[in-house]
Parts: sequence; structure tokens; C-alpha cells
Amino acid sequence: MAQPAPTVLTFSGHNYLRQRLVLSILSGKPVRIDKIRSNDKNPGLRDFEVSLLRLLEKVTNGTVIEISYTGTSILVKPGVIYGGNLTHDCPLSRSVGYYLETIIMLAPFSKKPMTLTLRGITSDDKDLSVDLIRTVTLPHLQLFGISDGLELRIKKRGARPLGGGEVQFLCPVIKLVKTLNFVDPGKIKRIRGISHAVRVSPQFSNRMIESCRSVLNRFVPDIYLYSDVYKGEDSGKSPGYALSLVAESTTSALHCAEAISEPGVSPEDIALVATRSLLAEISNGGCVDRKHQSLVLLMMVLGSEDVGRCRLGEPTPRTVQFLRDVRDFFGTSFKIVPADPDNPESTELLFSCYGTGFVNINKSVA
Amino acid sequence: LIRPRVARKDWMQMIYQSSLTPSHVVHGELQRHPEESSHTDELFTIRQDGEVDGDDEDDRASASLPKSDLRKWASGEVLDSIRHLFITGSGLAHGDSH
Repeated sequence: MAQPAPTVLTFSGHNYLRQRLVLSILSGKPVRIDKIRSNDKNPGLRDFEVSLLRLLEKVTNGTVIEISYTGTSILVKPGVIYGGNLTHDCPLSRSVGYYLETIIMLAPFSKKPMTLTLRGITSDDKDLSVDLIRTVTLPHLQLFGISDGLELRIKKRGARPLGGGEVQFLCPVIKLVKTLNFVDPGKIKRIRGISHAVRVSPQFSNRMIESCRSVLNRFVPDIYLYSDVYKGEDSGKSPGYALSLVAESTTSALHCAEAISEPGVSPEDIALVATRSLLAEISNGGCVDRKHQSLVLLMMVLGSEDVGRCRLGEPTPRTVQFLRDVRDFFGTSFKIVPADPDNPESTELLFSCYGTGFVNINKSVA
Repeated sequence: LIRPRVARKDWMQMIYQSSLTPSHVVHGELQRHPEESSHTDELFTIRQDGEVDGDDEDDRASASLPKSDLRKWASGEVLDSIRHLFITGSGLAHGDSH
């Protein structure tokens, strides 16, 4: 493991912090990030970013994190991903999704299967809610051969602002990532949804379902929207409700969207936002939705030494930066060509890359 | 629904060989929030995110779509335009209509 003075990759700005930390840990290359909100009136790392660094310290073994006095620059020398039984209390500024999105990229490569308990807010408007992580993100990992024992248990829900939710993430360890070949998006055959309401009238949940159906019924008959009720202690400390939707195609491509309650907005309107976002997501096309582009592209890079292919809609700005960062850390560039060269109206793209043949060396030692 | 395209973007060139910011690559031009420009005649101007690429929202997976983008989905015509993506739609997937 000990490499003679590995080169430190340098980035600036607080954006894309998570993906750079993940890539640093997976590639074993140290990373320095400068100018973290250096021009902001409140400079430096935010509490959720510091909390994320602490979590990464727990998940790994031997990681050295140096934060400058002003908090505007950090140096991370990655260790090995260890896993095991962990618990983390997340600050209330971001939901547990912020942490899970990061950990999901690392957990399959740890030394011991990970059981991570996170406490805090379970759904907010910035990060993926625990419902979407359970129903959409985890099935994406199954495409790469990570499936047995992969689970997210929502023990308690916690809405903004006080949270009080608790989830348990279980992830198995794998040695090699399967090569992906996913080029047929298929057609949407069914839509599933979870509508939950905590510490408000359970009727809100049914009103959201009604409103959502009024739009979606014209497309497919196979719609099942589940009203998830959590009572008492399990419903967290604050009132709130949300609707998360998943559309599944004939080839198991998943597109998702969600909307969270806002003060002064009726449940019907929240449901409409979720429904229309889902339709916008479906119209973007591809085999993977926009929220999961980075995860799938990362797994393709880590795949076995073969050409992986995936059809995606137009990349998001986050994905664009992710592709650039992947090249900096792994030296892998994607070939990106129009998926339908003959159709001038199609915006779908075919991403392909040669996998790095990433081997989870931690596992073989165990 | 489907934007008329002048010319196909060369994504590889824009991503790997240009120094454009990610949102510039995707949206074509830098999108400024209207409220930012309204501050320019004051004594202190709000710093534009020039050197640091983007704002806080970039480190979030759920990039919520602007309300105006969602409003168009109220129209039946727009809804019908994506019918071909569902199994109940016509057998012609977009791309194989010719």
C-alpha cells in the first residue's frame, strides 16, 4: 500500500466535495481542496461537510484529514475502507441522503460488510430521500453485481427541521465490479410511489396519491402508490410529508422524482410537482436517471477490464464535473457519442469506457 | 418539449478539452439569477461566482427543476408528446419512426 510520496491532486472550491473525496479514497490518491468559500462572508467548511469528513474517517482506517485553521482548505490522505458496524449522527443542515449518497459509492469496497446507522433528517429537498435511495439507488448497484444483503431499513422518519429519523444501511463486500452493458431504455411499464406523512393528518398522504393519479393514469394502468404511515416515536420530531415516485421500464431502467412538503403549499400541489418532475425525468430519456448518472459512471470506471456501455440522457453539470474528476483520479475518459445518430431530435448519448479492473484488495486480506 | 437543435454538441470535446464550467457545458451559456443583477447599482456588489464554479446547489443530487419547467406539464399536448415512452403508447419509439 505504501507508495513513495503519491502526488496530491489539487482542486478549489467547495463544490463537488463529495465526489472528490470518494474518488480520492477509491483511487488512494491524496487530495487537497483549497478556497472553500474563501470569498464568502462565512468562509470555510459547513457543519455537514465537516460531519461528512468525520464519517469518512469512521468508515476508513488510516485516513488523515487536515483542515486548515480557517476551514478554507483541507488535505485528505486516504486510508483503506474498513466498514463494519458504525453509527453516525448527522447534523440537521442536510439530510441523511447527503451522507448515504457518498457512502454507497465506497461501502461495496470495504474490508468488512458495512452496517451503518444514520440519524437525522430522512428526506429534504436537497438530497435523495431515503425512499428513493432504497427503491432506486440500491437497485442501480445490483446492475454491477452488488446485491446479496444490500438493504436500507427506514426505522424512523424525520422531517425538517428537527429530524429524529433513523436508517440502517447494510452493504455486502464485493471483490470485482461487473461490466455494465445497458443500452436499451425500454418503455415505462409501471409506476410505483411512496407517499408518507408524519405528524400531520394521514389524509394528506391520500390526497397526494389522488392528485398524482389524476395525471399518471393516462399513461399506464399499472400504478401502485403506497401510503406509508409511521406513528408515535417512529415519526420523528417534526411534521412533514412527501411523495416519491419511481417509473420502471420493460428493461428495468428506473426514473425517479420526489417532492417534499413546503409551508403553505397543499399536498395536491406537492404531488403535482413530484409527478411533473417524474415526467420531465422520463422525457430526458436514457437507461439511468439524472440523479444516478455519477453513481453508474463511477461503477463503470471501476468495472472489470472490458468495455462498459450505458445509454444516458444529457448529462447534468454535476455529471460533467464528475467525468472530469474521474479522468484526474483514474485517467479514464469516456467515449460519448449520440445514441441515435440518425435522429436529429434525440438528445440521448451512449457513454462507454474501458474499466480499470478495480479489485477490492481489502477483501482478499480479510 | 424536445428542443430544436442547431447542431449536435460535441460532448467529449466540451467535457475533456475545454475549460468551460460544467453548467456552461450543459446549458450553453452561463445562467445568471435575475436577482443577482439587480444588486449591481448598490454600493457593495455581490460577488459573482466567477472563480469558484457554481453555487451551493451543485453539491446536491436532487437538482429540482425550475417551477416554470414543470408548469408546461399541465398541458395535455405536452403530456401526449411523451406517450411513446410508455408501453401503452404507439409502437413507434422515437428514433425508429422512419
